[in-house]
Amino acid sequence: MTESCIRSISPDGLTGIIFALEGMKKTIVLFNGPMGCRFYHSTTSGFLVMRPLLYLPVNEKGERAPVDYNYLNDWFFRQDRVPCTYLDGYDYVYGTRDKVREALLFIRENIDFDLLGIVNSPGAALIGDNLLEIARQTLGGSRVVMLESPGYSISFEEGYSEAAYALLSQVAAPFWKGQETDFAVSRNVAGISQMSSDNNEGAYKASINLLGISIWNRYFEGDIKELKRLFSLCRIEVNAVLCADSSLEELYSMPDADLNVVLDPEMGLLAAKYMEEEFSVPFYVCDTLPIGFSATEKMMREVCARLEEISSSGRTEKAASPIQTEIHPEFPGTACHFRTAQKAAPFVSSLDTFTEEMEKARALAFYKINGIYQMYGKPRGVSFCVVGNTARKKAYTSFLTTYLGMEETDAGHAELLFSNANVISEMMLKNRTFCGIEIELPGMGYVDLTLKTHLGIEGTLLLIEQVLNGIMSRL
Amino acid sequence: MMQIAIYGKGGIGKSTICANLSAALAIEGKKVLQIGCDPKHDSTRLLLSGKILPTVLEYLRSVPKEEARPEEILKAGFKGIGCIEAGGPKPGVGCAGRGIISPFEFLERNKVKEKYDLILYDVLGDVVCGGFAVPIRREYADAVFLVTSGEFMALYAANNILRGIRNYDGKEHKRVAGIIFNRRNVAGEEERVERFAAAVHLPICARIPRSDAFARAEEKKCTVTALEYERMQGFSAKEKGSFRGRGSQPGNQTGNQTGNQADHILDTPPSQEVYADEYRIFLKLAQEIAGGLPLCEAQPLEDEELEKVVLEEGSTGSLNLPQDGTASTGWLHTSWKTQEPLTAKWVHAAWKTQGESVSGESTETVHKLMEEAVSVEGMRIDDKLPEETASDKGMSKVDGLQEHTGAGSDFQIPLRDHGEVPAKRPPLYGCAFNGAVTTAVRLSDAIVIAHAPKACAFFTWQNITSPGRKNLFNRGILLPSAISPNFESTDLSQTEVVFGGMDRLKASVRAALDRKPGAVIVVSSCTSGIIGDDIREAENLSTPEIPVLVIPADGDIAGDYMEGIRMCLHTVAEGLIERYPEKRPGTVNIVGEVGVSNNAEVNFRWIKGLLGKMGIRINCRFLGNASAAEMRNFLAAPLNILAVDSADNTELKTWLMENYGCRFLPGALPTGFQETKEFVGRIAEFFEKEPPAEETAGPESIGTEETTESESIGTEETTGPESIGTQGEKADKRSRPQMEKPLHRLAEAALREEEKGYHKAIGELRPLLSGKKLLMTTISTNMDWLLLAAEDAGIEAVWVGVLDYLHQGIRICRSEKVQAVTQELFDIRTAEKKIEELSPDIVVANYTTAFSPGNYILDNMPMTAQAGTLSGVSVLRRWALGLAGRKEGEWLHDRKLYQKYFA
Repeated sequence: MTESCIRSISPDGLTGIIFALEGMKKTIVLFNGPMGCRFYHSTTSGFLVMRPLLYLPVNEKGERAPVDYNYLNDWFFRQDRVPCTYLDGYDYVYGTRDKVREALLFIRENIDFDLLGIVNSPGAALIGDNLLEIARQTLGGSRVVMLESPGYSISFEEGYSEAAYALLSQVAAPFWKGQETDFAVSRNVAGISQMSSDNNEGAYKASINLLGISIWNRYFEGDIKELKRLFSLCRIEVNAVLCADSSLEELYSMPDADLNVVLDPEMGLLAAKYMEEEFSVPFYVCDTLPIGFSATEKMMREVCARLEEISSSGRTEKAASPIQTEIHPEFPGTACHFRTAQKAAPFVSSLDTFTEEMEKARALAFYKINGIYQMYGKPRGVSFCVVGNTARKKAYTSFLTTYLGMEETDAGHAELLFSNANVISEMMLKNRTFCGIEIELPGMGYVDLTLKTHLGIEGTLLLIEQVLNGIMSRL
Repeated sequence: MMQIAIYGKGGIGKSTICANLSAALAIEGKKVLQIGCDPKHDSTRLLLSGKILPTVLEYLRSVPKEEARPEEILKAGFKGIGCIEAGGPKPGVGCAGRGIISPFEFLERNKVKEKYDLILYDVLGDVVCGGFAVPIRREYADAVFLVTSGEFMALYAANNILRGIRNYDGKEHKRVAGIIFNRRNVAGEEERVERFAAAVHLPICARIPRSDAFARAEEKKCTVTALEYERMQGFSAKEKGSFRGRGSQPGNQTGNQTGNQADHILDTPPSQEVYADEYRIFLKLAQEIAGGLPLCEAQPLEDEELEKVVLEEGSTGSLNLPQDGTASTGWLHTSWKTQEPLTAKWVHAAWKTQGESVSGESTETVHKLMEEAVSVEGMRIDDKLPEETASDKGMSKVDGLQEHTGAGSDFQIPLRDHGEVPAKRPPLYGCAFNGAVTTAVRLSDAIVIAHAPKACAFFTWQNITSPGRKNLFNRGILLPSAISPNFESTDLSQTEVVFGGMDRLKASVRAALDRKPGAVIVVSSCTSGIIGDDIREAENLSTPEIPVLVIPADGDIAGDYMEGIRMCLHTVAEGLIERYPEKRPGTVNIVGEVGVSNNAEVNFRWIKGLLGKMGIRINCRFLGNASAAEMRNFLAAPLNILAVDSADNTELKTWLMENYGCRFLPGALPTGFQETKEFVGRIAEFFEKEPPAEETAGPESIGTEETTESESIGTEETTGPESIGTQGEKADKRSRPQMEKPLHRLAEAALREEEKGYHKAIGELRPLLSGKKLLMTTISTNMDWLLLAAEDAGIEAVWVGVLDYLHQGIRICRSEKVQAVTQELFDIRTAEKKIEELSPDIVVANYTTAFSPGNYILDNMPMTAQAGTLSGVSVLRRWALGLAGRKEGEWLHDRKLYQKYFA
């Protein structure tokens, strides 16, 4: 029956939106749609991120008590993630406003949260209710982000991208423009004050935001950890990772960063462009995901070079002016280091530590690969296929062909198949003998406790390890 | 920048007024953008010399998103007025409201509006849905004008718009600029509009005369305002030449510059007609807008108030309105005089009224009158005034609902006032779409097409494939329909959502038919349902060999997940089952397997093996990995067995019995030893009367049958029960069927193995479990398989709480002891109290309940139990292991660390 090799239906924009918002800490994502659309996202979100407990709002005595999920039936249906308005046929005719208002009141009274997202289902988006206004009336302030339309059959990346953009434009921008008043946090909680205190001769330091990472990534926590580690080797601090376990405070602090690093342009470029336009934060787009030694090194060198360039030129007036004088006059000294510096900070030359670690990793990889190569002549010529989104396909394919000398083929003939569990199991059904390596979700069911990654130096070593074991399993 | 929405009933003249107002504002030196929000997209025609713009929607449909440029849909009209038409679908298809939302998003994203001083939205009349109300939203419209005539429907629409604004604004905001009165010269309209304006506390900002000037200007494809402006400017032919071809860019408006339309105007002789009055009206309004209009709160009237104000002669009711009592004769009489036919909407409005109406009749009388008026084409109300009131005919009013009580009718039709949502309805668990698709993919050679956006297809795919991945990863079983379902989606895009998706669906069905499947099954989602795609049209694409079956689930509009399963099963049965197939003696059908259950395939393999030992084969699995051909031959089997004894399956069983004369074995696939014994006895009993064709062949014949794809793949180790020994330890006295005839002997031989294994296992478990206390909460109402095994092992059930969640009727256990401690309705608080009170050793929960760890072992029951004699034993073994070890691991003490670092 199946002519094409792979028929698995990949995640779409709605999933991209929900998981982008679910990537924000202490956030409730209210799904305005039927319960059927929401079960998957509620369950999966709980698996993707180690969630803290939900708490009741702080009482008059200042005490916090956890929510008992057994009683969290209204709107949550005893699941802690993604409450929903369980729309039915009547709601499509009469509108969803009353239900949404009721749900918001319940959430306001029963859950302690920082940010609330409202996401319409495809059907609800047809109704056109003005839910953002209801939410703001009900909850006050602008700590509400509304995704009125989930898009229709758009990609996961597009949905994620729209949600990230909405977070910045609907939540972060009002804060920076002084319209958000009810969130009791001072900006010096974020890295800016630290930057300021380090603002002395020789103590250069930069901060960046990472854009384009999702909790839907197979190893997102490990990815972030590795990238933070590598950048820290070059005195670059990761300020915020948009939509990937980041807090509202971090979202607010994003314009303080010196550079936005876009790992996957399909997911992060829209937000990066917005931040450049609104806050004059420049951005750098990775050529590919930092998978493999070369791609990792290229990203590190170019980010460092870009930061050096920025440090010598300073941020434009457009950035400095509204932020320093109009928006937050109470924090006049919080401008980032580079806005005032005129002398280039030597980030490129700080790559030594990174380079040394990279070389040691390459040496280790050489030793292990050579052992197999000496005996079996592999991995050269081993056929592989990558089935994934554009960024992943490009990055993995480049590494496997360039570094390991493997040969790309189609999924029906590959010895190693890099994809998600749906694709891998589908190919197993066809009695194909191959080794499947998971690079995206859904996974087969393996429970991970240690953080893993395919990015950076550590990630490249894990990937080589999986490839070598995959090859060995077929010998 | 100021944004103004011009609303009014369709055909009232909004577009003409809007275009004239835009022209006047441009003459006043404002940079104006007019956005037409009517699917017929002719709002800006008079500003563009009669040219019709391509709509934003059409444009976005034709170019890739990343290539879309706003300048392609933005054209300059008279004096550089920016002109845009949002567009929309053809009547009767798609969602026109959605058609407004999409262009607005595009314009916002491209910052089109930022170049202008004033944006005018020309919006289709009534607020028919939220999509059309988009311009009312505060982020779009700063001010709203209502265009109305003195006709009731126009005022009704105006009032509805006020309701829409009120819904958005409440009492806090003031955004209504006032009324633009477009005269129709019908009797009494002046007074009606004035009464309405007074009642809703709005000024009449402009009174547009009924004038031939508009028609004449329209003939010249121009606005009256522009024509008069041109006349006053006194353009000469020479001046005309100086302007020809000059044009202007959108947003580049100055007082001395004309735009493209000026070129057109100057192609014709300058107007000699004087339209000074009309010109002055629009110019004055434009000047007032430019000078800053006071804005008012939206204060719509209730329907009955509206009728009083508009229909009643000289009435101000409680509103203390001015009465002149001269021209107004009330709406009803005006209708007669003007010979305007009553519309259904009018009737609807009248129907909702309460108390006395215009003629002194009761509301019900009016309703009755209206009903009769529209029931006979051409008949007028004054043709006949029946004396009988609606209440006499069975109308009553209960709790805010008007309800037809059924006198003279078989129907109970509740009618709601003011479109209120009914009181809280119970949640629908899952959606019919998901249930239908999840079931349909189990027709192994069908192609299932979701007429849906990708979102619906994606999470449904995950729902189907989750047990596939689990079975593969945990058990090494490859389940074709759960790993690679024959399921695809039309992936409805924005374009189909707006313009209708039937073309795409038909193309998908044709493509599927080309692949020669056993059947094509189409299931509709919320989205396709809301936009009104009639998927039944796809049935016409059926070929003699390949039926196209449609399931109009419409997401959850048709119902919940279980309803979707029911719809699918009925549709497949009705579409495929042949009434008189060639009989296949000695076969059974398995009916109602639960597709998403991890145990479904395990249970099937077990029963297939057990029946095989008796020489009985499986004819068809309805619906589990069956082909269309097998479904056609469904009635060939003499006996049917339910896979799971659920309420839904019972309903299916009844339906099959009533519609197809099917015979069913009592009960379902057995779980636990006791049920298995009885099951085998019943099977033997049945086939003794109707012997299998290959009776003597016995178990050896099993392997000869044609196996399905799933049966030929994967491991068989999981079917464990068959490997049990041959002699039971003790006879069970609860029930033992007679085993005297040949088939009974085969059955007894098969059972003997099972029985021995069961008693051996119980014997081993008893020392470990005897005396232990069991507390259970369950949503499954048949737990015999576990409770009887527990009883055999000496476990004491101290409390069983049954949540009748599935509305199946409680029949938890045949054991009297267990029945004595069963509580049929409970909430979790009760269970927690019982745990505290009874100190159980074992607590069995289910997915709706989550107890904290305590001094007991916790276990969870699947929705579909594992079939076979050892179902209960396998659970008891788990308990024995749990109780034998330490009750708590050290990890349990680390909860405080979790709360310290992560909570």
